[in-house]
Amino acid sequence: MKRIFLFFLLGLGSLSAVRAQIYSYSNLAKSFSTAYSTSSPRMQAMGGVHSTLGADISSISGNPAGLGFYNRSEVALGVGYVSATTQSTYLSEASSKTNSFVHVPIFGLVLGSPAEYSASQWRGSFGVAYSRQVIFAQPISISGVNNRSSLLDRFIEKANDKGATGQSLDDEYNSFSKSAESPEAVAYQAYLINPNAKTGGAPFQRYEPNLPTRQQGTADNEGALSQWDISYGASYLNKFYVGLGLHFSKINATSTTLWQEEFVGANYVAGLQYQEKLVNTGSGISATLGMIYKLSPNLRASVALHTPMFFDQMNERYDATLNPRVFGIPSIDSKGNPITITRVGPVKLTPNEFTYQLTTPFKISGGAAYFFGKRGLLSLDLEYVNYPGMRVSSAELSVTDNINFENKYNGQTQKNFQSALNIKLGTEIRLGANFNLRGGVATWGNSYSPTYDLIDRTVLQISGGLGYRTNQFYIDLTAYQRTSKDAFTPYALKSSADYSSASLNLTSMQFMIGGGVYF
Amino acid sequence: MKNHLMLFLLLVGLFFIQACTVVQNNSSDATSQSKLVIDDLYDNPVQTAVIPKKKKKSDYLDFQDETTLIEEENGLAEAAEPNYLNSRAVYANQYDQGFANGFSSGLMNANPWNSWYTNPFISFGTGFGSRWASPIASWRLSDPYYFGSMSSMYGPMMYSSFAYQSSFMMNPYYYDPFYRMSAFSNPYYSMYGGMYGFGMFGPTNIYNYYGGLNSSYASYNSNNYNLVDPVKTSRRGVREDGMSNRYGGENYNNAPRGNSNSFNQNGTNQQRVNSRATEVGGEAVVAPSRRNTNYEYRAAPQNNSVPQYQNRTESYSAPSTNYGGSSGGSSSGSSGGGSSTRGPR
Repeated sequence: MKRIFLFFLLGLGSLSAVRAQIYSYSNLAKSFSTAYSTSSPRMQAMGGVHSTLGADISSISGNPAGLGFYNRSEVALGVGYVSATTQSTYLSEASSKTNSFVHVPIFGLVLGSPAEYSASQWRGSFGVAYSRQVIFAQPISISGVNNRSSLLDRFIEKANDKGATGQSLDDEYNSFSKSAESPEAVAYQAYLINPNAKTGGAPFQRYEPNLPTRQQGTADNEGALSQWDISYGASYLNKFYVGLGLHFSKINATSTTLWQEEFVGANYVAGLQYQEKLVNTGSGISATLGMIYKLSPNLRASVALHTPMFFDQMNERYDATLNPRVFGIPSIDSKGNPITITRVGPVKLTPNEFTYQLTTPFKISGGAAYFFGKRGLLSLDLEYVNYPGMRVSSAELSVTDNINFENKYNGQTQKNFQSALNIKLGTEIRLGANFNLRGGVATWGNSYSPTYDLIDRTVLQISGGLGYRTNQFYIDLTAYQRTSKDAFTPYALKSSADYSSASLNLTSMQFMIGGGVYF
Repeated sequence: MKNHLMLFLLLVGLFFIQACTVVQNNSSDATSQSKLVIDDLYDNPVQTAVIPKKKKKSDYLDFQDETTLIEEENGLAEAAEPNYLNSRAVYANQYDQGFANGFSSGLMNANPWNSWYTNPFISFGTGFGSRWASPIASWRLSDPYYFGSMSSMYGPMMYSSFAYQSSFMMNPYYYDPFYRMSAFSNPYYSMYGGMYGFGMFGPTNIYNYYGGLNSSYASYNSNNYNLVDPVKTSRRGVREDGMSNRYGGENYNNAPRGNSNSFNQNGTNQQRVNSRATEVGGEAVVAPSRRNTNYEYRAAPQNNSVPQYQNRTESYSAPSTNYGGSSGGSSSGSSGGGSSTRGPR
């Protein structure tokens, strides 16, 4: 009873509130395919080396062959406190933003087969688990004074490129829904850009373009890729282990960016606020086949094949709103009388909805573990992820449009990404009868190809933990810190001299407490 | 490089600790290891059960043999003695006959009051929204009662195969030639729609956007249905074709490819000098009027090409209690703005 109480106590405060940017489809596929912390607190402390070890609920989502090590049944839960911080430098100005939350990254049930009741040379265990494979948590905040450009210049370039006129942009506005079809039409309806007085169209212009622009932007992510795993692992003569797992995933991701500008010393337009929101939902399915072999009583080797996860219906909705702030814009009313516009209400972009199919990359993982008798272990995991193999397509589009869609974004995927090798190394030392000390280090290889840009996006994680274990239950404490570099470009212009990117240093820490009860 | 060095140092440290532990392990005796709690990760199972020898069936008794023979488990029972009185095997034909009778009578004599399948008021959720979001949902295709010809045999008008709540209408896998068609075209609909006030176009018309299925605007604008634009709530398609404020995918030198995540190192942030004559000097361009009238305004000064204020910056100030006052200037002749202050309350 005490154990059950303890188990549920660990579940208290399990709040799932999570928090980057609006990605294109290929980068979205990448972010949905990159899993970092996917295992139990015990395995997390060892750098996530669960491929070869087994007898842990991580085996259910990782290598199901590890379920074959179970000699009894178990119910387990992990609770994590995440603190994700991004330090940015934009136009020589430094900013920082942190996002913290508590979540339940993993819980599960294993129904084992006690060896003493088994008369066969085969025996196995069945496991069901919930795990959060990807959490979208990293926030971004950047700010700086831009002497070269404004977001409005992006809209102007778009309007010029498509040969728009004031009339054509006006036609894109729906008075009833108060929304416009394109961002440039939104900016036009917000009275922020105007057509050339002589041509009535390009080149479009904005008020006082030579003024410096105070820019401030934030990007937040919320949601996770979570999955339910159903796996079975069997052992043959306690020497060969094999397992099969099915994974039913659900993506629920919301990205929100807020871009604010203030024109310093302006007479006409004070500034603007542009908010974008992208919501992605979908469900997918994949399978894992794994094997572990005891080469000697102290040495084990493993291999696991992870099929690509197929998301049948990825639904997305994109919303954007432009909120202008004006001092006074000279204009004319419908009767031709001169007026000065002192305030313009928010103008919405017509929401965009789309359904597409997504296939994540194929993964193969494996490793080896050496056991120092029963006093400890050292384990190495290698994971190869074929990122160029990610695919998007859309059954909603016509055949020709779909081919163009596939060629564009799958082409980007193949050009921008490369296969990555992830390396994890972990150790556990049994200090006494009950206490275990753990440590680990892991790197996720740079999955961006050198032609993308020169940033090394290799991720490094250092972890450690302590475990207390009896014959009836266990409690694990774990902490890890993960660091990497990235970049954020709020908008882009044709001339690279006119806009800038922010360089980002990402840090993510997680403290986990987990426990389980045997029965 | 720094990261790799840290990684290397950590590895060395871990190996060192591990090495110490191994030495300690060697010095301990076997009893110390036995104190460790059970951990399936380390411990092999203790298989106490002995695999029983199978006893062959024999007509001779062997008193030395202590193994037991469970005939059912060994598949001997059925082979040797099939005639259990209580076995279904004996009455197999009767069971099949009974099932067939029930099936037949259910099929032929069913009415809405004794069968779910033929009662139109009992819905199993054949609507699209109630489908399981999984491949398993296709099981319905194979259920003849839902989508077969027998499913809506009751009533030629209201519940015909091609009318309201017909299986064809609800079934995404079959084409309904009358789906969402107007009362004029759907012979089964005109009376129903007309009598019950859904308007001439019926609840399933395809000509009037306000009279769509389940719409409360069923008879709205029925006179000028083809003159009103529909309210466009969203557009569908590839997002970046319409939305992006970035160059999603186009390949410019050192510009973001695939969106906002790559790095532009060539931004100079030098003071902008604009060469276009129309933009020099901050001269105001008179904004042409446009469809969006969601703005506040005041009458422009006489010389509307040059505003009367210079280098304003935004600042918040406590609003005066004079509600008739204007912070933006003259409000004469203006119905839209200038008569209130904005800012924190």
